[in-house]
Amino acid sequence: MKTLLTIAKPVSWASLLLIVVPPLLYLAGTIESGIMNQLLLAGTFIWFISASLWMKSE
Amino acid sequence: MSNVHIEEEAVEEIVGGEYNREPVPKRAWKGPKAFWGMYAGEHAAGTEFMIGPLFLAAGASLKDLMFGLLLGNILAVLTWRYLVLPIAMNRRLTLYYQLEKIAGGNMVKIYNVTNGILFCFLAGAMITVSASAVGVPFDIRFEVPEATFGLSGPAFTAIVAIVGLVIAAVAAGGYNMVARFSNISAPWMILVFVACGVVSLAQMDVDSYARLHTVWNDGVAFVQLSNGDVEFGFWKIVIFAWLCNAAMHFGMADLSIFRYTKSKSAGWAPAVGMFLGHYMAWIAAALLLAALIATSPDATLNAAGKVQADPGFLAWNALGWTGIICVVIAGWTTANPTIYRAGLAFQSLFPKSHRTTGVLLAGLVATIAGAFPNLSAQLLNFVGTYGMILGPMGAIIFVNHYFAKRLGFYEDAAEATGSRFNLAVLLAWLVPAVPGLWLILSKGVFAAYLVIPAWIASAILYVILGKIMFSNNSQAWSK
Repeated sequence: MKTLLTIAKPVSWASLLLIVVPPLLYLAGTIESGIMNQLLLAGTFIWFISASLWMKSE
Repeated sequence: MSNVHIEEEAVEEIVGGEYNREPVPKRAWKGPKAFWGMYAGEHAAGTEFMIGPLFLAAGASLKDLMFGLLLGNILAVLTWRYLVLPIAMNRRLTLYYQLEKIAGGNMVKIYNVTNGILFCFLAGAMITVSASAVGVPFDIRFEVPEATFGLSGPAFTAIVAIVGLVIAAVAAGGYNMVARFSNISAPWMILVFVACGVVSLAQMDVDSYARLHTVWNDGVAFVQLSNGDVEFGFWKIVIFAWLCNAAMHFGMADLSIFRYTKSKSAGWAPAVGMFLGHYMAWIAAALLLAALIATSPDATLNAAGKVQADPGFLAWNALGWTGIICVVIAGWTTANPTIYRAGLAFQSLFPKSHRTTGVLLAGLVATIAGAFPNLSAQLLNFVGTYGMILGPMGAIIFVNHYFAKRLGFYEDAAEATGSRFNLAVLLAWLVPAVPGLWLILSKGVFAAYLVIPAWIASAILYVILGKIMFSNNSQAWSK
């Protein structure tokens, strides 16, 4: 469990990159909106799953 | 406006809910970090999805919005720092206990229930916001009718009822779970607002400020064409941004927060909430509407051909499912504690009743309010009204703290005289607030304009009434 919690924190912070970076890539014209939306959704799920582990424990 | 402050509960998260009827002892004081963290999460909430687009729908220019919000938010932070913090650090009492000392327990109940009713309307607007997002996958859009108490379509009203009752049931289950969920969602939600702004810029093909300015102006022109002449100028924006949280700073609600502070620097903590929530998030949410007008103008119109802010659809248009999830969570995490707090206020009238009854009653009132989309469409005016009604209580606390002794009348008059109902407080509160409410409801005066006049009038009245009724050598008070 301790290992899980240790991993969860960096994973959750990294997942927030999936909320910020895809819109910037979309703005730059690098990705399409469909891909961006999927990455945003993935980031959302990863954040809520991983953050609930360590935020609950602190 | 903020994710409504649930002062005592929020502080309970920090220190376990003690010291509600005593000054916070030195050992429980907290460093500035706790306050910065709390304010960061509190002001990026469901209301922001509604308020941001309303600026564009009200005809605000981009330049006025950017500079007006900047100045208004700075004034709000200064008000917290120099009005609320000194009294909080000096007395270290909750708003409610401080009011009880001045106004008496029965008077506080009146204040509390008034607060609870206003909370219900705010929660109702947030239920509407959540429902607007829930309806998107089912192709159910909410329509803002002309009449203030007009209903949207039957399908949307049914969604409001379901969302409202679920939120009320969860609130009745207790506060902690939702508070924790709210804390978890806060960093994510702030970044979703950033994403809303960035994606909107992309949708509008913005590659320079000049292009953004042009697209925004086209949006305002479209609003003017559809809704008729509307204007929301620089000073109106400044006043709104400054006073939309008037209940918390001018009204002194945040005494309950700052009573824990170790240092004066905590008084600057609201800046993070203001500039994330009431600057970045409002502008980002406004860009959602600008982008929709630029790309699919017809999608912004209701059945009457007027531009309306539909937060669920706007977020969906920008971010897809993430946008929908964000609007639902933002509305829910704002409405939920608001209903809980209103429920406690109602319960205070009937101390023998169970907390669940009060919360469910508040949830029912909020759900009914949520069924009238015009209430959420009038959110700019509602939050001003909220500040105009509750702000004057802060004036009474201000006079009590700085002038009562100096002018020769009793400080903490109710406590000093053993009264449970201070008539001077009631009069000093209602004499400005009732005409103010009349001006807002009957004459259409922009509510935020009345906050400071009502506050000053209350302060002056309490000085006069205090001198008459609670002069140190007078026995004119009634128990």
